[in-house]
Amino acid sequence: MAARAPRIGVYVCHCGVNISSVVDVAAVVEAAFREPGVAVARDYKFVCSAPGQEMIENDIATQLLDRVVVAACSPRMHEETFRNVCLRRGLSPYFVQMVNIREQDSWVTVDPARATEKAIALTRAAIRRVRYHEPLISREVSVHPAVLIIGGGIAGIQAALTVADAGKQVYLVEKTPTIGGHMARFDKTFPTLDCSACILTPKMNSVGAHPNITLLTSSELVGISGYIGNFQATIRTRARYVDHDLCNGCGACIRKCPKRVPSEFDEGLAKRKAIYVPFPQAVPNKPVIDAESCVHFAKPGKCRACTKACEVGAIRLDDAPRDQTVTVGAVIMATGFEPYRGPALAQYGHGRLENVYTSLEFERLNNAAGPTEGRIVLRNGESPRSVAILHCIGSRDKNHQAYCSRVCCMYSLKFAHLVKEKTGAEVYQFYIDIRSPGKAYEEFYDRIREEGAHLIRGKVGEVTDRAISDDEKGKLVVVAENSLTRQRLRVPVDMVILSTGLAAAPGTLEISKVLKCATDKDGFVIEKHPKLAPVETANDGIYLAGCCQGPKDIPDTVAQGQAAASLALQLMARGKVEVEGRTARTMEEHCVACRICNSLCPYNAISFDEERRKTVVNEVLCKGCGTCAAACPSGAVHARHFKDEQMFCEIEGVLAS
Amino acid sequence: MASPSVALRCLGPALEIAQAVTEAGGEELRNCYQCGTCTAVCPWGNLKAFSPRTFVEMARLGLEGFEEDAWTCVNCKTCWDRCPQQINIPLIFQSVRSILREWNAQPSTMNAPLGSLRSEGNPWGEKKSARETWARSAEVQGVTPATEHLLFTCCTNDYEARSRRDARAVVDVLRSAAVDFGYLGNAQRCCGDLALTVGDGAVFEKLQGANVEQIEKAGVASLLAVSPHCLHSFKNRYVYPGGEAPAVRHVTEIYAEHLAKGSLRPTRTIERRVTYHDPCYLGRYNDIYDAPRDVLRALPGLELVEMPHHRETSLCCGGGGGGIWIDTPKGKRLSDIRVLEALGVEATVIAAACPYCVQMLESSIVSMDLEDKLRVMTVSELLAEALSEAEA
Repeated sequence: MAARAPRIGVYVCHCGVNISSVVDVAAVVEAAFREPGVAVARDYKFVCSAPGQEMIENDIATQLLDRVVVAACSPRMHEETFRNVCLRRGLSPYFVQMVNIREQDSWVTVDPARATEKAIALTRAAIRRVRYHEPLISREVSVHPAVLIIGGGIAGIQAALTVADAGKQVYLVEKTPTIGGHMARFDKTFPTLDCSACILTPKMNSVGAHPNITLLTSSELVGISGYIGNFQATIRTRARYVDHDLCNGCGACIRKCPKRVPSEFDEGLAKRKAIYVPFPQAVPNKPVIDAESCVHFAKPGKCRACTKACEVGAIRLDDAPRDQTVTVGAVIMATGFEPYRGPALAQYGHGRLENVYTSLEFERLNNAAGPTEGRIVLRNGESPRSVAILHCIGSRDKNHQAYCSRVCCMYSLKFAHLVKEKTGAEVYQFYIDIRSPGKAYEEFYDRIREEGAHLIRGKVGEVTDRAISDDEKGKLVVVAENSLTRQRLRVPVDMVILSTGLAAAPGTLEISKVLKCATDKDGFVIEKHPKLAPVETANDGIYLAGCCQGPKDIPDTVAQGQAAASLALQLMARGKVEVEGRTARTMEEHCVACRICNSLCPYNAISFDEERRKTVVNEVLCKGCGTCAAACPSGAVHARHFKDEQMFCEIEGVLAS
Repeated sequence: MASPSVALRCLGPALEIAQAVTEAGGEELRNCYQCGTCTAVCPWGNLKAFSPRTFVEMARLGLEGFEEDAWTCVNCKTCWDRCPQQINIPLIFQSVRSILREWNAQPSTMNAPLGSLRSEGNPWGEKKSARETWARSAEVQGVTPATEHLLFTCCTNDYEARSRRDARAVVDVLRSAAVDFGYLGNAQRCCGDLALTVGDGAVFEKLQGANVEQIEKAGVASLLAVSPHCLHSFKNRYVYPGGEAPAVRHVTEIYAEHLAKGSLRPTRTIERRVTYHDPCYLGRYNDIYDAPRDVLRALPGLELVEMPHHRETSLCCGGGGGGIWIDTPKGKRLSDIRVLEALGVEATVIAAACPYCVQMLESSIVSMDLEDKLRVMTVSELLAEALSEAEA
């Protein structure tokens, strides 16, 4: 508390006309002057501007103010601005109180008289409250110079390399046995037609060889505690049943394994063994056993083919999962996407008509390491003479996924190119709009039209094998309206490709729960601000990169990987982080050990000291939400900056007529 | 000397028309992004050039030309089911129709049924007092507050000869299951589905009012509808300002319930190869696909086959949305395609669950000279046959 009565400066902002067109700002100033302790009260067009801030600074100096009330926008916009004004004049930043008369008043109240009444009541409340503010102390915590990156696709790989190349430690955790993600499964990438694996594998190898990267494949994050600068992350590595240190990668075990199952990497179009390396350039390039398909685990003792084949004794059928805990300063989520696999596929014959492929299945056909060694062929091995590519299957559709996935128009155009190049077949492409916004994307679209693909504007309604004319016999018939000529067409083709969108990966939801990050209705992680903070989350120290934040192409994914990495590096460069002072604390002499608050804390900031039988608040983890203070029956927990006398004054201010 | 004149073409949006369509209930047309899915899946595309997408676009800007196609939609809901913007496209047609009616621009074949609805409460041009004739001879009881179920027949069942046989079958089945039911008789009015979907909201309101009054007076708690159009009106359209809306079911649902309980025991074998035609208003509008099939599968000896377009993809018979009252030349009817599909699966019977479907499909069978190959029987008729005493 101040030794003398505080001198309060009140500033009522017009915010251009946002506030002043509804609220009578002069009336608010007049009402402010009637409050005891108010030495200065002014209104101004833009208090947050440089002259506005200077005005406050001058008043602090010349009028000897020691409290500042700013009635303007939401504190989320400018609380920090005005805190800095105070700091520059040697005042505690906690001596500022903002009043929201914009988002909570002028923007939502229609009647000007009532809006002014509300502004006056809220400002009065703030004036009465600010008298009782205390100069709280923010803490500084150190930042551990290591980053945890969850997800080993191109986003995670890029983030890992950016951090590791800056000399900091990285733990890269990947759920599957290898890094690479979806990019490892593509053939050529738009618009450059670069071979995907050719541009990806050098980065994968760098990750595998980097001294600063600890690569944990077949692993998942199972728990996390701590706070920005100091997270303790528990990572579980599944049993691989192969000792990677002993294994020399000879592949004998794979050759001898008798069990074949559909390959996830090839979208089920080919088979792999129960002991396998997902693809030839995998990192690490050592096999793992899939216990669910392995004969030994289904019928112990029946099969030891791999053990017998291995000349260095690397097979370990008694392997077990291992947990480890690492300390990091920041976390980057890069859990990627999965292709849409919902009911729209069946509507277009997928699963029933054998030459209907999804885009990822078709991508695998094109890949030289794929099930057909890169040849585009029908199920009977013949080359197609005509191919239809159907855009927006399950996308831009309120019955499935309402959003547009950004990349499908471009990869569909790419498919048209590959089909023409490899088979010379006619390509019919059915679209609603062509979205080609990136660098060189429109030119790629020009090129595909020049190459002779037939683009038909009309979303396909049906794919059928029932012929009604001779031309249609033995073909798949695609039915769509050419909306530009107003003619419903039946186009007979040999092969149909369904261009589907990107959905949130199931792993994104799981990891979001562990990290306590919010996800939106489509399952993507919610960023701190969609325009201004796309790779940050509301959780300090946790960043995002790639498709877990929303569908995007490879250039944007790489950019986000670098962005998230640089934010993590920013923390580590400063070496310390300021933690907000508005936390809770216990008056231990009043704590009766009822422990009601212990289970209520959403941030796991409360623990119980068994020896002393007292509740303890970890003030670094505490976010000052006030739940514990509200629940405590003895009044032993105080929420700093929300003390009873502060709250009661505020209430009185609102209620005073 | 006369000055040369050139008539420059000047076509622009007529937003007043768009506004009128919106006010008549078609405001969802603003959401359309012109993808063309509706036109690709509309069953009319199998027979002629008809673009619901173009219709919506023209209505949206009030551009001339939408008047021609306004009466083609038969309300089958295939477009609405598949629309990525979930737009109620049949409602847009209905809104435009209500405006065209104000301009007196409706097909002349609609005049008689609508006039009959207005004055006699049915579209068949028959008297109110003739409605219950069939029911009297079948000794069907009236409705009292103690009656458990109200049996609501379609006007087609009450006034049209062929469909009276269907009504009789319904009564026989319900009696066999010892279901307690009653009938409104001459007090019943058309459910109003026809009036509403051809844009005559005023007649619909009047019919609704009369029927709701009867229902509340009789204290009806459960209504059994024979026609899916009536089912839809009572279940999803009607407003019951007085009290509780009755529980509304289709007759096939109560059949299935009693078959499962064992209170209906079909013992006579039906040696027929039957294909079930999902009515639009039972299937797509009300998600009832299984009850009729459960009934048919319970009939001994009946071989049930599915047509390629079935359940959600069922092909409309063309009777809804006023289609039953429009003269479509033979060989150009939706029911013609459906009959071909039934032949394609070598069915000898098309099982129907809607009086309009019966009318449309039988009309096609006759015009295509297929009476010796195919016939239409309702689910009620097939069940009644299986419940009847075996011939000596």
